[in-house]
Amino acid sequence: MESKETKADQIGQFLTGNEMAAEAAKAIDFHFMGYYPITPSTEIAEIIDRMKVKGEVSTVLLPADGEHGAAGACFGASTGGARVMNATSSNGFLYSLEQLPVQSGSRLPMVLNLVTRSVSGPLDIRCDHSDLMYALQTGWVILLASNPQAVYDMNIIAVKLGEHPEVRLPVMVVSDGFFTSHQRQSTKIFKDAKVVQEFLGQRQDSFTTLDPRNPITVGPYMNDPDLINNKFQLHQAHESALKVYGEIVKEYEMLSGRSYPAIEDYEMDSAESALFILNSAAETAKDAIDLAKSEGKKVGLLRPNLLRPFPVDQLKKASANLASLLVGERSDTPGSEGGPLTHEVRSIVLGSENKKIKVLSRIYGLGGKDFRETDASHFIAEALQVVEAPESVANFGFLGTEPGQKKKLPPQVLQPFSRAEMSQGLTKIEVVASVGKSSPLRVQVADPSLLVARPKRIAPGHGACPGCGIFSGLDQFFKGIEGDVVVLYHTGCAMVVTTDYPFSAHRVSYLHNLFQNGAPTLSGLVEVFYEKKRRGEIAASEDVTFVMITGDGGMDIGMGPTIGTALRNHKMIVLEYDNQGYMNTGGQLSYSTPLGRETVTSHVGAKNFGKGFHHKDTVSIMAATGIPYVFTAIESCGIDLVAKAAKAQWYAKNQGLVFGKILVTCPLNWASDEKYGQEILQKAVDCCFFPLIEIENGLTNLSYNPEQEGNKIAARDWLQMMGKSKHLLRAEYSENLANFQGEIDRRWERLKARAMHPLL
Amino acid sequence: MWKIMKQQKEQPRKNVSVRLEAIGGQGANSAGKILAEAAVLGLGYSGNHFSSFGSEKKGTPVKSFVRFSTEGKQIRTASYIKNPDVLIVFHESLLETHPDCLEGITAHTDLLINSTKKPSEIRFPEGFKVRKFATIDATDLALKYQCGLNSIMLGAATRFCPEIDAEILLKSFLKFFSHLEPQLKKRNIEGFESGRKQTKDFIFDESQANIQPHEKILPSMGWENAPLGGVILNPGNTVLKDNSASRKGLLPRFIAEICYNCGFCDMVCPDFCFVWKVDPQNKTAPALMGIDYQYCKGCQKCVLACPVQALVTVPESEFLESEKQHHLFPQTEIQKLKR
Repeated sequence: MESKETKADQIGQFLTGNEMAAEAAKAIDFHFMGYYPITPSTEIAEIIDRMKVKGEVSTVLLPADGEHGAAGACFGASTGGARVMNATSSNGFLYSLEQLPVQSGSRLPMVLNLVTRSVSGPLDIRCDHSDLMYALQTGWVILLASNPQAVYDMNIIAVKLGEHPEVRLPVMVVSDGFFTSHQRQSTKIFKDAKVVQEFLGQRQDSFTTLDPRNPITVGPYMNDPDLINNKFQLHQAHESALKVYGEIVKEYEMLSGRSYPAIEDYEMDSAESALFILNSAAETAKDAIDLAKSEGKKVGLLRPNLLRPFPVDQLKKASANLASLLVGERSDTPGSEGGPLTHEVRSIVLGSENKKIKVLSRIYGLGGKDFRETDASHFIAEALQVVEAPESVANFGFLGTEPGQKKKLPPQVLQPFSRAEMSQGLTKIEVVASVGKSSPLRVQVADPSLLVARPKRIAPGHGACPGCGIFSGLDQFFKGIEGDVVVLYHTGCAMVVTTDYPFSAHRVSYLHNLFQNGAPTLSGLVEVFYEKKRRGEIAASEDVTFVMITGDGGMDIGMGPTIGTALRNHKMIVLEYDNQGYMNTGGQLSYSTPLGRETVTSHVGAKNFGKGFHHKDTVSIMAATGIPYVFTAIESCGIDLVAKAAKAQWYAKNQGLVFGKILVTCPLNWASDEKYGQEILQKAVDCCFFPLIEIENGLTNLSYNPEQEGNKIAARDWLQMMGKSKHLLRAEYSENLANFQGEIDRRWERLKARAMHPLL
Repeated sequence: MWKIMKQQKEQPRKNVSVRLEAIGGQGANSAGKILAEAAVLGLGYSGNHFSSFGSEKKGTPVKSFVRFSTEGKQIRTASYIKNPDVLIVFHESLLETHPDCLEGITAHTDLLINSTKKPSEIRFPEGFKVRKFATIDATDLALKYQCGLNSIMLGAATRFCPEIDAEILLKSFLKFFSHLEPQLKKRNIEGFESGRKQTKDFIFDESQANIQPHEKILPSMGWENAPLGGVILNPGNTVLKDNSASRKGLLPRFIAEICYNCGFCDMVCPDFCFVWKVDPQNKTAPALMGIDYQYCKGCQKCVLACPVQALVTVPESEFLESEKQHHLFPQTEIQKLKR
């Protein structure tokens, strides 16, 4: 697809799709990027952050509290006439879905990189197009980038196309997760970003919300009879986009030497049968087409570069002489005898002059299942066969499913726990008369030498990193819990490493929901448990403790629903393991990450010192909901943690919702020595960064006061133990360190004041 | 069946595919990137590279793929490499724990395995044939040079990819590690060089005729027998897994004579490795029997938690079979299955 004569100098690179998206962003120099990390699109923001730290790009990066928030931030920014980008995947994309028609209906251009990934559930982080198919109804222009080079080119084309006065639409650039996003190929980028800037020109807007002399109203209340006219304008914009796309890619070809026709036809000249396949799999299929041609078979390939607006006439023309067309799709529309695009393609070609054509639909490669050249050859054979013997080929089918092998099923390995086994009385609670602010509960905790008798509710063999603090922390917590439990885990490290199908480390009933929504999910189950008991459908003797396990990430994106659940005060425990970042997706900053910590979205360098804002006080937020019990703990003070677990269980059974937060180590993303897990946590407590407290029915008590014990240390003594923090000890960051220490001191003094006050 | 050969000058291949099989944290993705950059940026070949990950963890299987063409054939395919010309396995335990690491081997495959064993001592499935085979004790070398396992494996890989000049590979390697502190960089270069020199004898297979590639291992669970909705009906079946490949050559040793059963180790272990004898009637206190090394990832937290030095850090190579304890889970077939 490359011609020799080009206008602009380019340099050869060896980069992935995500790297090429970031390179394009650098050349475009967007005003603003709002994002939320999700595999496999996360890298794009990470790379731009790294570029920013080096001063190579000036884009404002906003790490939102979730994809919905990210989309909102982008919408807001775009009303101000800014060049805006975002990147997301899978359920993150779906979480923002509600915002996307707002963007297109308001006719505000921006660029969204959709790096495709299978939509949960079950949760799968690999590529398919089930997320993309939800995009078809959003009113956005959709460009398909089949390889890393196209990701770069399409991002540049997207800006110009979306901002064109006859279009004025947001544009998605869609590339395949991992197959393109993480695949390194020989690529070219423009030597001078000015080439891109001149190609794009200044953004021309007819309105902006940032001009007080020309006030406007964006997003009115519009019912009938007006809305249909607004949607007709949207339809017209897509009609224009088809024409404008053709003009822009021609202009871009002059500049780059690379062409992107609305539909690429590969070896179609004498083809009688063809495949219609999107993105990276189409590139793989080209080798199979070459092979089939060399064997004298008359086959070709159609691969769209433009999916919205759909290039209807181009498809009709390209398929005019075909006897058969096989549409291969990385997504199904269950119950409709064809993948979602098949229905579009079929209706277009059957509505053309070509009345003899047969259209087959095949689902392949779901959830990242590999699509090989041999698979494409199989499709080619079917496309040819349907011409010869139409009855012998099914119209619709899946490629690559497996029935399984009953004989090789993993055997049932462990017996469920008996109630007696789990109720040994290793922790005991007694209600006592409270004096002043003292706890109304007296706890007895067995010695660690006896606590070992508690069977582990999580089995060994889970796949966490060496030295992971989550599992020692959770085990200590469960050591404090008597009897039966049902657990819900938010998406995150603890979920992923314990439930790698067909394995589960959980020896008790477990459910997962995406981390916007774990708390409401468990609250539903809790209410059904008590309702079924009331109806006599569950025996009155049954007694279950409900525990939700979340990371600090789940307490960012899931904060609102967790607060709602807390306000309803269901009988359940929410336990947060705080490892100070989104570790499951590679260590991006969370709101709980401390100031100055280096993460992959808060790099340290010439222009930045690490995370730019203070750690979130989740404990105070949750305490403000008025729930009966809030606590913090660490595994280095194990008996304290076990005792708090026992109290949490009592409150969750007798009064309502409990929130507990345990700080846990992440040696991988803190760049700390695995064996020093205990010491690092103890120092976090001793420097008063993470005070150990309890709040019982609104009354705050310190569980441990490092000042009184003579153990108080400076924050620097803690920070120096972690590779991702120790830069703060360098002279150049003394101001940032002082700022951090100041915030710790301020919160500690306020906490002590609350602990001393009889009413707080 | 195996024939030991002196290394000889080989004819460079035109189109080469390399697959690296490893556990997350062993650096297979970086190694693949370095190898591919040497081919593409260093030598001007056409090529591509990508990896197949789980989530961002240490300890999950990683496959990394490199394709290059010395004659500049455009590489478009985005799929995994099924039949590699070169297969590099970063830890011999993968042969047991993830047997699909040998998938697609043919008589044209060159195979390198990180192993303490000699090539002739490694047992393979019946009918197994490759073109060329060698082992290297990379775990031990990485410990010795205090460098990444991938540095050793890349050094060794130079002998499997004669198409990539070793000096150019070293340049690509240095570029990748350019941000490291000088001491660490030096150690990795030394590791790279040692990997280059110390690959154990190459073995060539005599027979190359009529060999079927090692086929894909089919999943046990499929549409006919998988419970609906992805539900797992087998609580705690991760006990069937083996985490030993996550270790970096060091283990905690348990000295029973010193131990007084305080339970502190059990409070800090993330992998639930401590094996206790518990009296169901609670008449005697639980007693620590030892460590289940099938699950130990070698973090050494327990060694620091132990108040009496009944746990000490020791190189894995010094361990005796008799020191290995196993959990006795009730009602299980596990011992028969895995041990």
